[in-house]
Amino acid sequence: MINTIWGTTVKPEASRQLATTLEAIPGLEGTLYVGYPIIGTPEGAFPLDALLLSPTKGLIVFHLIEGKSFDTYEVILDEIYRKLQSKLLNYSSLSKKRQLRVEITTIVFAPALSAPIPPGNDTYIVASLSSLSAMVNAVTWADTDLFPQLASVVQAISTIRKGRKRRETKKDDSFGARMRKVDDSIANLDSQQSAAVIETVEGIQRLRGLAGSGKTIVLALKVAYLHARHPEWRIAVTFNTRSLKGQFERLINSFVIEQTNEEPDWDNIEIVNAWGAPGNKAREGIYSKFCVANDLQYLDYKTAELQFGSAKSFAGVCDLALSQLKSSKQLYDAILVDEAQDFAPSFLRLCYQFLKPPKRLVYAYDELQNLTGDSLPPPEELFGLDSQGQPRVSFTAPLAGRPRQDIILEKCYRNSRPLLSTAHALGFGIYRDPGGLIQLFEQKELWRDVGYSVSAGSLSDGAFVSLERTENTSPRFLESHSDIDTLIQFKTFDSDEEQLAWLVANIRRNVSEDELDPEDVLVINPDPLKTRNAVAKPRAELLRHGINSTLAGVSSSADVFFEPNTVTFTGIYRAKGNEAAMVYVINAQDCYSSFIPADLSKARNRLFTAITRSKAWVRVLGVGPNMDKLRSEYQRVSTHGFKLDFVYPNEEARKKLQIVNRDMTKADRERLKKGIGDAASFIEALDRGEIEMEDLPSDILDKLKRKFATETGTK
Amino acid sequence: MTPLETHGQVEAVITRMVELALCDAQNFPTLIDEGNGSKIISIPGTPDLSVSMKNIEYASIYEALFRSKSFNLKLIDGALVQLLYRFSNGELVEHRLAYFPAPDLESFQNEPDVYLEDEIFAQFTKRNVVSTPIRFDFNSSNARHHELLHSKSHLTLGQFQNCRIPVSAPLSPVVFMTFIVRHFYNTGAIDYSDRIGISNTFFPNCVTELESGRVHLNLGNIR
Repeated sequence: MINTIWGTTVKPEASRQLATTLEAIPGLEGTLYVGYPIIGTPEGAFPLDALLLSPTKGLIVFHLIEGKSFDTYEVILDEIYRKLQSKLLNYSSLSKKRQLRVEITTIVFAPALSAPIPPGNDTYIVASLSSLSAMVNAVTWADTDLFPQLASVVQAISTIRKGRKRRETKKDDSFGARMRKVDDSIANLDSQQSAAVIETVEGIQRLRGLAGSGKTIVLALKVAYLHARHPEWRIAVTFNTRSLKGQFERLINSFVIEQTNEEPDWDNIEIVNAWGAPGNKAREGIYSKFCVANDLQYLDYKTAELQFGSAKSFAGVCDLALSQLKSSKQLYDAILVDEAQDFAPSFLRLCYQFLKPPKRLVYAYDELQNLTGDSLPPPEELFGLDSQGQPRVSFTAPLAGRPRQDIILEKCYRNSRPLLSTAHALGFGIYRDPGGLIQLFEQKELWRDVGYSVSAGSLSDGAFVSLERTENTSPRFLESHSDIDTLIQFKTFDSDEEQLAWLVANIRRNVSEDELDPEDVLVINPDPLKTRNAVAKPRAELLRHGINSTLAGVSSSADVFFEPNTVTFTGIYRAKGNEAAMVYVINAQDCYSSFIPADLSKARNRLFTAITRSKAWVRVLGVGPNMDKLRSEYQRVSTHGFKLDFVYPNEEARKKLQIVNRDMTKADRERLKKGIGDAASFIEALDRGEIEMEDLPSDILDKLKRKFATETGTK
Repeated sequence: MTPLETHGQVEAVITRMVELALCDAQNFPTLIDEGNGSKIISIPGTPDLSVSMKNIEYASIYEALFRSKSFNLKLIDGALVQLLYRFSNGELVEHRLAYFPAPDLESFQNEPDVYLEDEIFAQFTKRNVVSTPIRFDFNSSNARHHELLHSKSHLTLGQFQNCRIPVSAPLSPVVFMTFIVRHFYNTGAIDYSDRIGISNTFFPNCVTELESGRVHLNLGNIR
């Protein structure tokens, strides 16, 4: 049975009939690509209608005719053949001596044709709905042993690595040398990622995956693919952290050129921040354009902060704009949103309004990365109800013959298995003692979707379960280059000075003996309010030793995160979306716990994000007893072999977790802080004997007793 | 001050600014011997040092400086600082000390919290921010000196071509940086200029009596 990947096509009917017919052919294996690939030629982009990749038949290219009239198909088929052949000849693995050893068959498929078909011949095959199966079956291929290489070339989509310059190393086993091998192993996109790039929904599509699963690359390549197939479409891609802009530009540019032999038309592709400011083209954003296009009042950051508070500033302005909207101008053919978990639903609804029908909105996110504490609701809730009270958007179960609305990328290419398991264990608080679990995935299936398998027990309420990452979802080459104590280190220091000294000494070694480049090193301070001061001394000390560094910060132009020959220091928000070979997390004690339990998940989320920036090695450093506790928690992860062993909480326990971690307004938070303060003073007074329990009036004492009884489950 | 001392002071000032958490990105100065007794302290790489004099929009000037890394310091609110000196046979003959604020970012002094707390939306300001670059220039050449019109050491505000406010003497790196920090970065809560902690050094006065009879800047003498 073949597998069909639905890209974007201008011949939907014929494509559907093609797919249905081929899927019905017994014994036919392979993948049918609709709307892919696009071949770049000196004359420009050359899109193929459909391509069948089969282990027994090689490549069959279909030229589809929707209507009833024939065109000069011989000319077209010749062109297709020549262009595809010349593309494949580039790969030596597909030729023996000088002969291309891939069977390329071209078939014109005209399902709507009822009149007698002009007889084709072996070279120019013409098929109707009834004759297609027979014609496909008749195709043979002599060199079927080349199928793996052929599949790899076709699936590759792009030979672009995210890459940079080649590393120069002298030693065979230095960190630099190990990194080079890792980079080489992360060759092309895997088939999951390629499918995610191509699959196009005439509507909303959700892309989820772990940190490091390649969501950003997939989005960028999606933009490029859609642009190459529909150069007249107006496409926007948007994000929260500006440092992604450069990445997007590079990837889209390279990919469009690779596929079409032409530069992208930047008039039709916009890479913009979500908020933006009007007036200056370089600073425009989706929200600012929305306001300008629909003649609504634009609020800048300062005004929004005053009106809605800093945490809800962006949500507030989007809500306001939507409430004032009468009917929206629809400017875009497609909008792609990265890091959607950092946006409030109102931003996605704003994008929805801004789109022309059929509302092609692709949003990508990572469940555990949201740093503001809100998770995204399902699409039925996210996009609201229409005038009939029905959800505007709902996801149906995946149907054969249709592109997927919900895509999950389960393979992580950035973080090794021990690193990612550690990040999850600490992020969820699985081995936290005392205290236990802090937060959990909303749905059990998500564990498997993000690449964990059950190695013991079962994923059911109240039952013990042991989850681990497999070779399939966490490639071994990401961890095999170093032993575990080199990959991950947790260190406690007695003072800031000691932490600083160790940090500086290690960075100095990294850029000298270890043969890493300064831009391979990333230093993250998780607490945003303390970052600036925390990094000042280390940076000055490094400068004294001749090592340059930057602090990622506000910038009105050029959104660059990493600079050549420079170590990057950053707070947690700007770190997102970036990665480095060697990551130092300093002052991690701030992530161990927090004064208000509701902030604990935020603190742990930050730790998760920080650790998962690393492509290879991570050093989690901190000062004081809380850091010690964090380190012990990590030891437990390690002792459990980097498996997540825990008792899955039942529904009641899960509800409790949710309540504890619920989102709070500033006022609620202040009240809670005061309440906690008062309670603490009360206990202290009891301890000091200033108040005796007997002093309390009996009704208060009763109420207290009853409250505690329900909490601890005794009566 | 000798060229070597001046170069060392630029380095020390930059390091201190990093330590004060006011500087996010920096380029240490180069000290180049051009031969014939001429030494210059400049910015490494291939800086574009003339763009700021061109008759183009300020935003474009800033962008060009930023992209070509033609600065010694990039400060917390995006402002760029240049410290350029030329010596001949050990004597200071020329300097340009320039401060280029970011064209569309709120200044640090007006919104310190936004920068200290690293608010990621900080760059989305609607207010039409008016940025004023300032420049302290010195040239010892008598040929260039036109008493009152073009004093040897002068301050230029904005891009006004003929604005040359006389200054009593050339400025050493620490005097310049302290001036900038004191007047543009001190907040009601924090006195950064007080924390720079490098003793002031001075070049010999060069202002004429006539020039000091008019409105001018006196560098003072507190070490």
